[in-house]
Amino acid sequence: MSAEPLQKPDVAGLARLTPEVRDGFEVHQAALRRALDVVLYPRQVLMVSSADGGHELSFIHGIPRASTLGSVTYAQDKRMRRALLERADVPVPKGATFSVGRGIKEAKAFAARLGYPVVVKPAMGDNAIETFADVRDEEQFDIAIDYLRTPPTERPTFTRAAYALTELREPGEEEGRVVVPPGYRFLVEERVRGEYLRFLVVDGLVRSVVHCARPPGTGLGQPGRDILGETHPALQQLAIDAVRAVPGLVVASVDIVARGYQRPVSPDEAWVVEFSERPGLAVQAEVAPELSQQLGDVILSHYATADGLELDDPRDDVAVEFHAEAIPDLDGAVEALAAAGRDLGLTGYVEIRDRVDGTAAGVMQGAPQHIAWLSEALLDGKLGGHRAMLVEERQRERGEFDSFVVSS
Amino acid sequence: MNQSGRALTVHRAHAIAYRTPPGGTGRSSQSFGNYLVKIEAGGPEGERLVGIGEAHPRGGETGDRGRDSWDFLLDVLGRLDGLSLPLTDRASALVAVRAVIEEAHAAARAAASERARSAPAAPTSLKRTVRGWARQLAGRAGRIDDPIAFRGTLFGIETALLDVVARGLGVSVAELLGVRSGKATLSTPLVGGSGIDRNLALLREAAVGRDGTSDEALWIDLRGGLNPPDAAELVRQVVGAASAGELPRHVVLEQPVRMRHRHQLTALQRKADDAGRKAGVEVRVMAGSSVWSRQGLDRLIARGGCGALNIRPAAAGGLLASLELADVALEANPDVHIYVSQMEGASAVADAAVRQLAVALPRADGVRVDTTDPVSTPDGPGLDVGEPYEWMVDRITDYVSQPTPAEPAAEGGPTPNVYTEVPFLQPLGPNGTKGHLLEREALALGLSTTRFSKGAFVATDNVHDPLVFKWSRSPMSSAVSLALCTHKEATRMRLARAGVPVPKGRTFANGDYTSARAYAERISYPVVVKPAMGVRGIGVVANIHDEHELDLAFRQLEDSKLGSQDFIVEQHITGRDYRIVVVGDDVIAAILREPASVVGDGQHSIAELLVRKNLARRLNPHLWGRPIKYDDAARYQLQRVGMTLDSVPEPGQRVLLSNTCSLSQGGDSIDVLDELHPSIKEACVRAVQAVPGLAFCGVDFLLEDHTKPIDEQQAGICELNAHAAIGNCEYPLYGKPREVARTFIQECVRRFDLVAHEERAERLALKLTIRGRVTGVGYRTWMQRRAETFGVQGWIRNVNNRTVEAVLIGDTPAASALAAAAVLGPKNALPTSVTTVHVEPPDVDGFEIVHRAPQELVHVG
Repeated sequence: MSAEPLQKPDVAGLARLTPEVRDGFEVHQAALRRALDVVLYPRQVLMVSSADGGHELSFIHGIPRASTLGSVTYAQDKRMRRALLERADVPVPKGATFSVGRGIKEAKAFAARLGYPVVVKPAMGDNAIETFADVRDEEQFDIAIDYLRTPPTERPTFTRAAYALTELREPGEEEGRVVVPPGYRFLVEERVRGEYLRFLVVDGLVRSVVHCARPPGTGLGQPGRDILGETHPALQQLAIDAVRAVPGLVVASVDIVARGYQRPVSPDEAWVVEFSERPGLAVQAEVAPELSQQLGDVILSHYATADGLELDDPRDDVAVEFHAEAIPDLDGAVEALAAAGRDLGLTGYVEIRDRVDGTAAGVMQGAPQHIAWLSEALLDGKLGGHRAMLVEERQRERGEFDSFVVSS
Repeated sequence: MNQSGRALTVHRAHAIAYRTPPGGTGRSSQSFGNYLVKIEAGGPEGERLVGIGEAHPRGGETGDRGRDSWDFLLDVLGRLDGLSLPLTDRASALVAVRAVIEEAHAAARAAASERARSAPAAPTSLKRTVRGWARQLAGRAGRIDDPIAFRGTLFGIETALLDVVARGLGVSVAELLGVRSGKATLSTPLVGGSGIDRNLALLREAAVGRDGTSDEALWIDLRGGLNPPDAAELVRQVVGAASAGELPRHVVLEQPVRMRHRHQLTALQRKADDAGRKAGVEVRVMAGSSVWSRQGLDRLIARGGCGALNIRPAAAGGLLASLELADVALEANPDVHIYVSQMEGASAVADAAVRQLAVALPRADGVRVDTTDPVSTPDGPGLDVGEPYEWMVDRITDYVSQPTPAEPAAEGGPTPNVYTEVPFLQPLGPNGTKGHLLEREALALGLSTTRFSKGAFVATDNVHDPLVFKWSRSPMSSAVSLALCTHKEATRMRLARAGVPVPKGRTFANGDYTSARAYAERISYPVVVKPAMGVRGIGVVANIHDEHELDLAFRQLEDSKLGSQDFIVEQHITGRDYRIVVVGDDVIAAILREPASVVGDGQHSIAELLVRKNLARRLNPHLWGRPIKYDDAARYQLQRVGMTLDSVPEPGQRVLLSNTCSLSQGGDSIDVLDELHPSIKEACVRAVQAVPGLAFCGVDFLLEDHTKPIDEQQAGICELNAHAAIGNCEYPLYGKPREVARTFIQECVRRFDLVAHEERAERLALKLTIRGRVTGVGYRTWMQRRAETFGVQGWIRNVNNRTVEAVLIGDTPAASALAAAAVLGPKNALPTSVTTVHVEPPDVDGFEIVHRAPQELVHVG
């Protein structure tokens, strides 16, 4: 597991992108690159529209609208997801879920029956996080369970999707320590051996395969390797079948452990070990920023095609009218925007538009990824703690600006 | 004055089942089910007499058993109608009550043996047979007593009868029984258990805190926690410690050994006597839970008795039976100490009964109750206690009057809806209904399902991809729509941009009151102030009319727990609270939600009206777990209008009991769909269309009047619920129910082009395959019992050690609810999935547990 955000040296802000916001960011920048207008709401709800207003595409964390509420809910519940995969004859490692309240003893007995090492992870919520991928004995098992007993919001690596189920149960208490409710469940799975492969499936097609040094979300390792062109078609088909098993997902990432990525699938040689309704582009970004950028564009383009929207050719330099609403500390936010804009090499200006309404506006020109980052950061409260409730970027003609300033 | 011929006549009896608040009596955090028994009678001068008692059915401890005890209670109360009890003098009144109680005891015996006869023939097993033999042998050896059924229930009936008669005579219950001891000392035992050292340590610790001059015995309840040798050793050590002055000179050891070793009590007492005599200390071994009947006491006395007896009237079967036990024990040994104890989970009614018993006992060396007033001869009349409405009014689970009143809804307001499917839905729990309704409709349209939990199932036509549901999260709506709708500010901005009426508002930085004042001025007063990430209404101030009030609201927010947050100022909309349901592009249901209230009829008290209303809510699948609560909010509302639970409102007078419209807080739901103005419907549809991929939505709309055009009133949508509950409009308390679940599933069928029936099936024939931990846990018997109660026919069988198969044939509400409950199973079962498919109805009669499928099943659909 990793408690650290990605720390690759990069242009100022991009280094501070945490994995869980990567997908939304990539689609956001792809939209700007394709000359589309963008409205961003809190928690990465992204509305993308054509200049004529004839089309509107919407995303949550980079997931297109066509992914249904039922399907993302099932994808976030590992017990039900495993059941659906098994129903579709997709091989999964042996596993079972247990509750922290009454199931620890049974879970240990189960782990012993499977034989250590085993994998332990939360049974509900965001996928490919908080995975204990190599629990070697009962002592390590206890450490994993102790971590999972901590209320999720206090865990360093916990993330929660905007569509996740809300925890309504009362927390538990253990020797004066606040812990998760006794009904909180975790999954114990057999640790299968082989090469760890991350597939990205978009609209029924495998669009990326990364050979990972270790399971994503289990700590910083070496970046993976792009092996899309080298992966055996049978493994690609397995990833596609897995996504079909959870009906209603237009995008998904599938992690497969296989004896070898160039070999066909034979029994007991390949298992779906992880599955997410999110694209999980942080993995591809580690391979190369261009790869995740390109895949963000693939996701956007598929949706646009399905919607009958013809996209412009991508461009690396764009100009947008910028508009932000409901900013609590307007003066501070405008200063912070300008400073970050300058750091990122943007040009243009920002000004207070309506002090009473809390709106700021201006022009931003420069690389799409930097404009996208600035907006994502402002919505997420990561621009020196400043926050807006809405940001709008409308494409415009490029103007003449030397720097990025606060206009009065 | 000539007293002959004076009598009272019972004309009505009420049985009220309620659950005690957990930890309500301070002893344990458990919640108990009690029955309040209320007997109404006419006195000799036509005066109204009311007697109350409280029954404590406590399973094996009192010979009671759930539903059977309740049925027994209703049966006995039904027989009391028209009963005449003499009020000529105490003795004859007591004789008459005793006769009624003896008759009730006889009825209890008859009901118990009937129950044993009619119990479903459980499959025989060696274990069960051996257990039966062991029970018989233990009975013959005097280790267990003959069962006496429903003692906890009889206690309540008898108390109510004694109370009403005592009131008729104008005396206290104690005086009716005959005051003998006159007073008693309150006493509370230490709670011990296993381990000699642990119990000794508890005693020593308690001894340290005691006044050295106190002559009161130190009492510990060992709860049968020791084996006989350990118990003997504890007695020896306690005597030793008392002799050495480390413990008081008087110690009472209650029930040191288990029931089956109770014959050891005499030997233990002898040991204590022998060792203590020389040292001048008095250690008494007390018979507690092991001696509750005359038979058990006689057996103990025959062995030589013991030093003390703790009588619990609910275990003994009433006050009269308790008196008898004390008399018999004292006759055998005038030195025996008599204690009397209350059960856990007792209200003031049972408390009063035990106190009155204590002064009527020939001697009472200690009384254990949960109240602290001294025990002395009471003034009366009767128990001198009122109905414990404060304690139970919002916790009532059942209420039956005998004979049935001519007009059950004698309340002044409209008649609430009653839904016949409630009994099928209750086993699913308070939240189970919402997880079940969609599956019921899917099955009714011929789809097959697989259920994974109370909330999650998959439906399929076996042609297309299956549809996945969890609660009301469905394949019809997008993930994006939920993400947007669960953020109120995001929703507000999105809707405002779509031209839908929403309250104007925005977020401000903590402490930025200058900007907030300017903003309030711009959107114009009245406004609401609330924390940006609010919970449970903390720090919220509504209806702020000017800048002065706004500043006060800021102070109030600062002083609240959420005072360090950013905050929101928004337009206050004066309106009523509506939930309007949109499926696709249509408004399909609409309810008005109003705060919890009762409507007077000029006869009943607020408490009585509240009980009736909560009972009506219990017949509503959406509201049965959401009673009107008698909490601080309700007390505040009553206080505002100068009323109490005992006040009798005028006919038609509406008395508010809450200020929130939340149905969970006891609010009413009233169907208004047919009256909804088209402009309001249109605004709802526009709001839903503004959210990408939102196909099912509960729109929360504030409106002044739902029949008027939207532009002629203050109106604003304050929330969109993308995963709204289905039951609130499906089952309104008043007005026309709407088929929300059915419409929802039909829309799914349409959108995904599924192969399904045109018409909804009224009856179903289903085959269930239940997987998980479902064998060796009583699963089949559990299913059989429920099927029989639900009127569902079919069979059930074990397939292998992880799979059970069942066939259910019955009406759609019953059969589908049982299919949903199958994923819960009995206590020790852990089903992981239930797959339900349709079959041609096989020819079956009743519901049987079978070893092999009795016929080949033909799958359909």
